[in-house]
Amino acid sequence: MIPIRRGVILPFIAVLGVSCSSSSSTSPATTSTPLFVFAASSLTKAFTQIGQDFHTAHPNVTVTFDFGSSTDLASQIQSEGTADVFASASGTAMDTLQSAPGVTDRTSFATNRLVIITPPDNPAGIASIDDLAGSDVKLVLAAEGVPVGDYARQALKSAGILAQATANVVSNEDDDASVVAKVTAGDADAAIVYTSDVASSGSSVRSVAIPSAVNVVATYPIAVVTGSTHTDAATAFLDYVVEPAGQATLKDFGFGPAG
Amino acid sequence: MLEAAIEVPRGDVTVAAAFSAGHDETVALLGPNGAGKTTIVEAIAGLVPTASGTIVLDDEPIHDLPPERRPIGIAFQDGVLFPHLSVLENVAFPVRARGARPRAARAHALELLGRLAPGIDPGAKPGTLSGGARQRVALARALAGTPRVLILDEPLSAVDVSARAELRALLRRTLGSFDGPRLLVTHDPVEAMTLADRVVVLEGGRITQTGTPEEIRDAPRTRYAADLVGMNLFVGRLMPLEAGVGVLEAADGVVTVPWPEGVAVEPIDDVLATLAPADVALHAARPEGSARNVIQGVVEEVAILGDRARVRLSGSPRLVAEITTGSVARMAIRTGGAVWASFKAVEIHLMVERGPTDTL
Amino acid sequence: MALASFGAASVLLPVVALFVRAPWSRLGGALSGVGASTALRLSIEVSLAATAISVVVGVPLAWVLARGEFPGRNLLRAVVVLPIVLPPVVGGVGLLVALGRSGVVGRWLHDALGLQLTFTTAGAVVATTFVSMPLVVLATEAGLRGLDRRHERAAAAMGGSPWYVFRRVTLPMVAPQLAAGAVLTWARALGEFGATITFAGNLAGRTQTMPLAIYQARQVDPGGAIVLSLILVLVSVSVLVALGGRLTGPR
Repeated sequence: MIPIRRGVILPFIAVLGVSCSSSSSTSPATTSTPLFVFAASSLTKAFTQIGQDFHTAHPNVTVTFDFGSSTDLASQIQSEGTADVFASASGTAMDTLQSAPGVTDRTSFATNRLVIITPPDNPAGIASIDDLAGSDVKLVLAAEGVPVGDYARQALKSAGILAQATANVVSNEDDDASVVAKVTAGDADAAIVYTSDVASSGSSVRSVAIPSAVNVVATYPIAVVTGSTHTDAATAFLDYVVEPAGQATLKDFGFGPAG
Repeated sequence: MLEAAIEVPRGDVTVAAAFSAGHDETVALLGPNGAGKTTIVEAIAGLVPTASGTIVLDDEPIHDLPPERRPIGIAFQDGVLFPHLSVLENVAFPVRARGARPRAARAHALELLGRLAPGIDPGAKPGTLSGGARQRVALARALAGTPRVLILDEPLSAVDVSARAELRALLRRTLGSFDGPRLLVTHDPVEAMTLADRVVVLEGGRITQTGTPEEIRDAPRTRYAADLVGMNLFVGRLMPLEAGVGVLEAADGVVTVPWPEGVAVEPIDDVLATLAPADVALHAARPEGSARNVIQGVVEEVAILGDRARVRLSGSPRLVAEITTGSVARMAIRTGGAVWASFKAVEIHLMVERGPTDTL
Repeated sequence: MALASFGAASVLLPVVALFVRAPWSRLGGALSGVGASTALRLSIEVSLAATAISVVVGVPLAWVLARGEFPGRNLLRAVVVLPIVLPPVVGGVGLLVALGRSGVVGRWLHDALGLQLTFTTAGAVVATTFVSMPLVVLATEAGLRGLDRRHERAAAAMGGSPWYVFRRVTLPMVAPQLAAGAVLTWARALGEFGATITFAGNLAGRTQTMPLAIYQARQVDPGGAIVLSLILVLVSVSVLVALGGRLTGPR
């Protein structure tokens, strides 16, 4: 009965990169450095791609991802302390970690904006954020406490329709993936998620932009976790994310540049 | 009048039977375990499907009716009372099932219980009752739906010997006063002989003999029927021996018999011969005398009936002898002991003709 | 004995830990703060409704499985049991595809009757029933198979129509197994999470049952989550103790 919420752990074993490593001029890696990256679940697709690319560039490093809610990951790192790198969807989760056990090289690497999504046929005729206050709109949000859920309420408040829109909420989902699923299934009329959530959704959902004036921009920080035993590899991964190659991949998956 | 002519598949064999029971007649279906007796009555009640045949009650065919619409009351072997219902609700069941109000049904059930099962708590659950009490309740339940045919399936088999005589008397009264045909299923010859007007002997899924108890006693057609009434029966090939005398080669031994009058002197197959147990004499030592048949055997059983004892012998052939209890004591006859038996050829009755239903 | 102690301990340990870690000092606040009473009432309503539907639909299903003779009976049984084996989330996804507003059947329900199950309490009941019904079906089928058929035949010979026999003989005789199955179904329904949140969504007062409330409370108030968990444990244990003794003890 434990729901599968934590992202899938994706190990990139050295063997997978064999064809690439042959192009490397370095001698075959005698030992492979394991690197544990804990990342917000909204980063799942982008980081999976970045992880493959990074392994091509650094065949002697084996990156293992643990995707999940930023809050959950932060508390897990605090109690278990197995992470080398933490990439969070919110500053607060990173703040938690910064207080204990501490982080280094903290930097913002991406931004994510909110967007309204509807089923392709847009049954409730949503054309702007104000339409979310209309009667008989079945609106799905992430639950309070989930970053994207809190951000969505913030945007609705800025638009001055928090009360009406909240009354239209038919479900508070656990995470953004569940929110998107309710819309792609056609059961909800509208939802608010990250742009990164829909970048790869194709035609299964329709996007309605939220004006910058009321939109909430989530800034994603990344840092090396104090206590990491592979700080060199961790720093190398962090650098790769903020360098042009990593940034291009993030852009492909719907993220904006930091600052 | 109930007339049944049915074939009922049961496993690999088919039970086939054609018989009737008159309006005020009790017909016993008598046979060993596995003969198909219960199968036949269940087919009549509609509880097992028949392969073919007709069941007619008072000129009205009932074989196409579902069981609940056949006007038949059954007291099942072991009772088969509903364990979750009280004695009263068990007896009221057939009444309520046919649409009566619960109150009226219970009143009727109480009246029946008072008559057939006095002293049994109507509120008790069947699981707490003795075998005899259960059978009384089952009898009341069979009668409760005012059926036109009454069927009793082995009504005494689960009853203590001590309670049997009383229950047998109750059965006799109940059967006698029932207004319609009655069928009694039993493997016990005493039950059949004492309760039934007519006996249908069933063996291996076939009727082997039908008749009044007296008719079957006088002329049993099978070893089973003969054993039932205490008659020795020999079946086999009859061979001429000397003038007026032959030998009957039965499966388990040879006996010397008188050649039947008016029958050609040549070997004859499938001849039946009976010998009354009272005509068999027993001796502690090999007897001298005129008896043609002298057989040594071992005593298998000694059953005392009043001043007579029935002694069953293993030997070639097997025999039952009936002697006085005084003789048993004088000769110190006991189970397992060796004994000599003798009987005269003229005491043996031969039946050369055989009926088509015989299956020996 | 050692293994039994280990087994009991493995069940007891998390429950004891919940007691140890419960924020007793702010119990009252945690209770009201996370909408415990709303979620508990909804949980009880949904689980009882799911149990009732499971019995009404499950008993005929068990009868067909136990007594029916038709090709594909074993396949039908496998399908009926499937929700026990599948992760509940899969059940939720399946229900969404079948009964969601755009689902195979749900589309028709919505267009023709204006019915939408998703995001409604009825939807929560459907999801919960889907997951928990197999338990009462299996228990009742086992009961029917173990039944001495002579009693039903006797009842038919006593003039009972098939329905009358079923009502007054078959059903009462499998009542113990049926009741045990219903209790298991109810217990399973009370703890149902995955199918409900996937199919019916999560909204306080409408689809947010205790397990969903506990799960959501973890995000904002871990102490509240423990309090809610304890309430669920207490309710479940007291009902199971009250019924369990009667079901398995001497009758």
